Amino acid sequence: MFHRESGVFKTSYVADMAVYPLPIAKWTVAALAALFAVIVPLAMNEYYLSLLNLILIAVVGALGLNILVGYTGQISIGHGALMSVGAYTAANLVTRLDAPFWLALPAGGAMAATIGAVIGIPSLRIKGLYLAIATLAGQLIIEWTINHVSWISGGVQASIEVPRPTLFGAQLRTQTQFYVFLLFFAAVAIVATINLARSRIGRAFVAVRDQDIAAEIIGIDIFRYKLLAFAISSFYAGVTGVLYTYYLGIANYEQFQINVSIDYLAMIIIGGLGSVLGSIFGAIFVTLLPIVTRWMLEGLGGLILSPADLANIIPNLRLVMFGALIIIFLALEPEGLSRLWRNIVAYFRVWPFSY
Amino acid sequence: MIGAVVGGLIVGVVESLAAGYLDPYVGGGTKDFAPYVLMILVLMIRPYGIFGRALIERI
Repeated sequence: MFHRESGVFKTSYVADMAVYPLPIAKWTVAALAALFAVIVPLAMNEYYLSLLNLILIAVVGALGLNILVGYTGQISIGHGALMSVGAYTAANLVTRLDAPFWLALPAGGAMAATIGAVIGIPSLRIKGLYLAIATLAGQLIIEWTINHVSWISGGVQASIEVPRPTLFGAQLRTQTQFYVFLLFFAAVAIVATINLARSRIGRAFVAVRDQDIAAEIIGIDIFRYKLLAFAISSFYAGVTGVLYTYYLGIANYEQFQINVSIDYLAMIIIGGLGSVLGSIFGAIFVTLLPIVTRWMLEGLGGLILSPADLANIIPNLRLVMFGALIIIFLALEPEGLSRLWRNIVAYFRVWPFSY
Repeated sequence: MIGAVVGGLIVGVVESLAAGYLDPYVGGGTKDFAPYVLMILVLMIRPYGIFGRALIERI
């Protein structure tokens, strides 16, 4: 990431596909890991850590959606509902059976993966816009089911209280403890996605995205890989829902409505489709955007507008800015923030000798 | 043309039928997604719609 290559020649495909392109890359990753695992939780106060926690949760979800939309090219507007599947699975396991988090978390993911594979079945016949509407149907059906089956949700408009997870005999209470907890899962998700993308499965996904008929001709089982993409992606979504439920302490279907699906799509479009770094950038950007806007408006907006107007504008401005940003990014930089980042890196690669 | 007319009618009728016949049993709200379920079923059988023509894709 921050390293420069010189005199490194790759002579085999294995070397070209390596996680660490250069030996020094290991040190960059180690330094970043030390920064986020040790220095950040010690140096930051609770409020900033709470923002970071939201970002970490969003990173897991954005990576999952990017596997589906960015790598496999199958759009889904149903991911908000899949998160609620994970969230409610975990909430029910925890409240009814006293399941520990290491059981509830994969169970939530697995349940979401199962439902996600079912939602993905229409992708075998239809694609593009039609698939978007079909997954939207999935979103609405799941939302309706969870809301109306009181065995799952405890009644219409109800929410389930979930106790905080217990780790090494101690319950997680402070933001710092949660930060370490969430960082672990975000790191696992990042490494898993990087490795998935360079495996046989990941390359099959990319082949399906680029031209699915051609992929089928060269021997990729489209049926299997499309459903696999939906399942893996939904697993991430389910885990995101579980983490979010643990973080907030309640499971409520209102946290996972269609605007959440749109938010996650915004993350990967703004961050960059088919890029792990892009998912991370997008998650950071979309999570922080409303908060930074609020700061700026509260700081500067008072000069022009009355406080009542300001209170009206702030919640709506978020939607306006999301819409505008998605259009701007699609028009000007379709590859998103990760492309901008790569441009910067490419510029400094030979800096200061630009030849 | 004819597809739009027939499709609009079908969606409206299905919505009302779902609201009338399904809602009493399951507790309301089926109207919101019944047309989508129908749409998925139709697209699974005829991906180009009831009156659409199949397009041959070239690579």
